[in-house]
Amino acid sequence: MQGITIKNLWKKYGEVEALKGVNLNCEKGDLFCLLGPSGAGKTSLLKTIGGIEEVFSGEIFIDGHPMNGVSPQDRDIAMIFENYALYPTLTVFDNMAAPLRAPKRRHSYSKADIERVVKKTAKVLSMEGMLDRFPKQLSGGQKQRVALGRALVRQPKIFLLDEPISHLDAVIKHQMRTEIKRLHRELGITFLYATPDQLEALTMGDMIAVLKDGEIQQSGNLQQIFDSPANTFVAAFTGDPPMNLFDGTLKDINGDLCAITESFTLPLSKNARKELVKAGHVTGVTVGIRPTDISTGLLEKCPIHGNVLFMEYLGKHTVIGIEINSTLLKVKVTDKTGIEEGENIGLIFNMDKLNLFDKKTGMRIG
Amino acid sequence: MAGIEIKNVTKKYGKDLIVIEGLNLTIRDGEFFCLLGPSGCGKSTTLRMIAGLEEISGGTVKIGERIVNDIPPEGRNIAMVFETYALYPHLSVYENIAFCLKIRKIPSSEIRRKVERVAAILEMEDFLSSKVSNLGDGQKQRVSVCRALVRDPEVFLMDEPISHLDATLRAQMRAEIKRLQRKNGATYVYVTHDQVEAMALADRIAIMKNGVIQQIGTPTEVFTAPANKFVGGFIGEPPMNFWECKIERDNGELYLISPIGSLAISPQAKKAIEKIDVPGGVLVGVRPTDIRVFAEDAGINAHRAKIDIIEPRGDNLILNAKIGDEIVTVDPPAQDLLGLNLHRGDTIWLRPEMDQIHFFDKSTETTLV
Repeated sequence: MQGITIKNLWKKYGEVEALKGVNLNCEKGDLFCLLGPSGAGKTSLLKTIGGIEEVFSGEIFIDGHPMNGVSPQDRDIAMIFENYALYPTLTVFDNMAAPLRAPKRRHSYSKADIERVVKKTAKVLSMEGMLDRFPKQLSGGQKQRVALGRALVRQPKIFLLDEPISHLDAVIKHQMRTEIKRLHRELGITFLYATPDQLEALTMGDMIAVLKDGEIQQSGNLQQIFDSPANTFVAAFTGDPPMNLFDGTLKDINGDLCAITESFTLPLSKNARKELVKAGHVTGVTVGIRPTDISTGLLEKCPIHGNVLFMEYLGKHTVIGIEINSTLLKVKVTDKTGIEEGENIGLIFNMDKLNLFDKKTGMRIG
Repeated sequence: MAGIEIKNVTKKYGKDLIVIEGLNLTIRDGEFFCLLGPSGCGKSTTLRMIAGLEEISGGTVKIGERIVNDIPPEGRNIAMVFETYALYPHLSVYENIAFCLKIRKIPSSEIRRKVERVAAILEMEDFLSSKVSNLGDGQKQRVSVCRALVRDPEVFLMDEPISHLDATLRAQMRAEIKRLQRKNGATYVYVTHDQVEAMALADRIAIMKNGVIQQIGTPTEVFTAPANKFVGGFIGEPPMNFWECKIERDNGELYLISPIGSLAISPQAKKAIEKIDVPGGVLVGVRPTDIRVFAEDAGINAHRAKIDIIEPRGDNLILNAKIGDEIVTVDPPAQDLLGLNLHRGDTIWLRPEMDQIHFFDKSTETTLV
């Protein structure tokens, strides 16, 4: 296969298992995001792919060639980290040219070659006008672009990015997200991008792998991750605010199968019922619903209601924090409703968008 | 309970370095108040002056009815939570929370009652005997909030208490802090550089830059009526589009000659613009949410654009579209996208909602209309 294939990869630091049997397929040319909290194994995975760290067991293939035992320099991979470590005494041009002037490559690039490659890369990054500047004269976003440029002059086949914009301010972050996406498209090479920020992963990734404790929880595109999370971890890690989750039990009420939670009772659809039968002995379920899949309604018309604890006005959206008994539920609406804090309101769940998980294992049902 | 009044406060370092000058701010009793701004804007310094951790070079700070300029931090009845939680790693969660009460020689039965009560609010009851070193980041932050809370302060000061946490944990803690404030009703002053956090949490926000307050208002006010370009660009995600425009008159109508094409000024804005003399043109700010998207030419003010980047977000979609060399960020209402299957390179028409656009003075960057 073209791209990156990883088979049953294990990585250990002494007794600590950082990666536990990771399998992954990243197609050539994709922008593939690794999403997970700190300690999930994202960096370990990037480092083993880059060859900076050895694997304990398992295999890594790039375009079908096994990489175990191949030195980092021979993998045609560039890697960039959160801190950009530029040479403060060198100009932007010289910083970017540095990898081409390294002893190993010195003979393959003439002065004219270096000038051509650096200028071309700078153009892609919109840094043409800043080649004579020094790092201290640049903003955080610009410095990060120089770091990207320095990695890219070598024209790698694969680009590994480890939280490259995590520390930047929100406004620049938005810009850089778009720029990295544009860059990826213009270069047409494979990007493997690690981030703890779900918004970054969902907006940028052609494909996303969600990691936790060294294991991949789910690989898929945005729609799969967002609409059909494989387990409660993925459900609660994605979306802003993340999915609402409620533990409950299953009970037959007058022939209707219902999920009974501490706060409300939900009759389940026929489809959900079928899936539950397929899944076998499930008694406890966790019911999941995205904040956008709940709407507010008239109190007297809705069997489910709660008390408005707070309103978060976020411009286009408003997030309403609603307490039902002691459970906090979040609803995300776009219209500016007349709802006020302290009010009791009715809630309407979009039952087509309901997610069911096995309470014991956290795994998705259906 | 207590409000805070900051009057004509100045902060100097040494003789010449003035970081804050003539700051005035009134924080109401029981209010959730955010100080928001980029790093170096003076928000933490302001908070530290309220706390008593920084000397006040000039002016007065009042908490409740008392001027506190000369009162040491421990006498101000405030509690402070920092980004780093500074817990005692070798002590249990219980001991960490109880620490400041023990120093005050409060009877142990009362300490137990108080600790258990705050631990219950933050759902840490089951962890009271755990060692702090065994906790996750979110739990540690909760312990540090418990520790502040247990003292029953009138004023809570928080300095970026959650900015180093992972995004998901941050969202969760955000809700917890808000819930907490709604329940205990104390005055909260919360410093952050993250506008989403400030918008979500605050009753009112003060936006600061270079030691100067740019605007004070509710989240709705600062979003819908920014006082200047800085506030307009700082609040809102994705940020506002800014276009330098000339104004032209034709047949009694006013038009903006913008980088995306000509735009007819709305009747309300026209009245206001006509009163102001803007020969050099204006700076216009348009929120991504105030631009409509059409598959076909939608008439006046609609301009043809080419989709450059699509940013799907699960429950909505952000577009970056090119009109000429201008890149326009659009976060259209969901109904505009129904039935459209958009791809990169597709042609669409963009139409700013002209009654929603913001006018700024080109040189001072303050809001005109």
